[in-house]
Amino acid sequence: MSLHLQPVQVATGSNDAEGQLVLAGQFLVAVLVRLSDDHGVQAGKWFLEQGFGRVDHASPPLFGDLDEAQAWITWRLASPR
Amino acid sequence: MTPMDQPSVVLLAESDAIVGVDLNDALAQAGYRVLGPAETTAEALGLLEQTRPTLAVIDVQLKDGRCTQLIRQLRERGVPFLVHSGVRQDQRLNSDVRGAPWLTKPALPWDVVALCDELSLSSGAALKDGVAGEHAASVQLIDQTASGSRNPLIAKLEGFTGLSEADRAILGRICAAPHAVPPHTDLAREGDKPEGVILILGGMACRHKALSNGARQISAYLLPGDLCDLDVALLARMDHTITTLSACQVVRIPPNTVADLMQLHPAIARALRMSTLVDEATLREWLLNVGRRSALERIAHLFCELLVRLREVGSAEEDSYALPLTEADLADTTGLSTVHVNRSLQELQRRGLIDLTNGQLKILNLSELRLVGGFQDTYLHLGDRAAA
Repeated sequence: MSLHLQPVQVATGSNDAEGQLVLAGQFLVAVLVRLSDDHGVQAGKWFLEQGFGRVDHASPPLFGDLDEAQAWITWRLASPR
Repeated sequence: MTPMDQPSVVLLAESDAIVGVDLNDALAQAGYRVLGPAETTAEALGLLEQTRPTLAVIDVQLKDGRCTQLIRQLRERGVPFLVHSGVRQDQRLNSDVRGAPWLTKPALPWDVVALCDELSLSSGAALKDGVAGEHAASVQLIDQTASGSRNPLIAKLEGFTGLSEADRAILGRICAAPHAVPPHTDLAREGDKPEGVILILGGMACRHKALSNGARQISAYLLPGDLCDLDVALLARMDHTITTLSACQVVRIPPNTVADLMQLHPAIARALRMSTLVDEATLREWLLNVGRRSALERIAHLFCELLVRLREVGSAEEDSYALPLTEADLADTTGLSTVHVNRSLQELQRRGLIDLTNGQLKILNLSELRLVGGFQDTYLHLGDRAAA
């Protein structure tokens, strides 16, 4: 299943505001947020702010770019658990 | 025991025959060669003439009176000694025993042996350095007892109940020789057979469990004065892991010593039971924290708790304390991502509630931080001393 992204501002209560809604067809499956300079060496990486259903994860990795994030989300959607 | 090839020789001067036999057995079992027990000063001086002991264990009051002559002879020969006496240390009037390590009689034989070990190690080092043995030994001993300022275990237990001089002396002995353990070192691993009760005298350690994917949850911080699982010897295997977070000073108390403490020292036993209850209450509070508080609230609550606990044992200066933790440690403690921990720390600093610089946390507005975290210290039962 192919994903598509939709830019969005996210009110995280921090300087991390630049976000992407991740949609699989009509369904919202995740919200990604780009980490601000507040995060030091992690700045610029993408954080799974929220995953839904199979994309929900207690300790998700940080992603170097949006392609990496989408690959991970696709893998989670395809996983049996 | 001492690292030297030859067994250390201990001169034992003890007026009570039964105590003498007990100490003789304990010392011999620990690998010492015992001269005596001598019941009189004359007898002790006779033994001293024949052999130069490595150290001596003496009661100041022997069958033929106060052993002033023996003390003088030991000092002249540079033989370090410890006093094991029914005369309490604070009742010492004469200067001849000033500075000598002191155990109030009857001390546990284990305590006497432990102190001998220490004395013998430090005198060995001192002799190697060409320093007069006795003086250097007692100086070093004082440095090692971790009671230079305030023993955190005694401080913590006295928060729960009144302790006698003898209680404090026993606890001081137990804490006398902590091991320095580097950060991120396992003190006990899940699945291992427990080896005594772990006591933290300095630094920070934690209890934790991990999932097979490596995700870790920290379920308790162990601060100076904290002691893990009084009855751990009843368990066949550890069900979680205990690891240092920072460099720590650690004592491992043998199960027999814990049993003796519980049976022979009712005030210490009461305080230790109280401390177990507080550990459980703290775990319940942490469960509430992780399960029901927001990210910001969790961090604020944790910082308030640490301040109260560290203050209690003299490890916090006013509203400031060392926080030798990474964001990952805090994330594993509060069940958050490192991103949420970072955001919460930034937010608390933005609001002027804390300053976290170089591992030092300074709380700038405690009342507001308590409000944010919904922190009330009742679960720590600090004011319960009267009820105990």
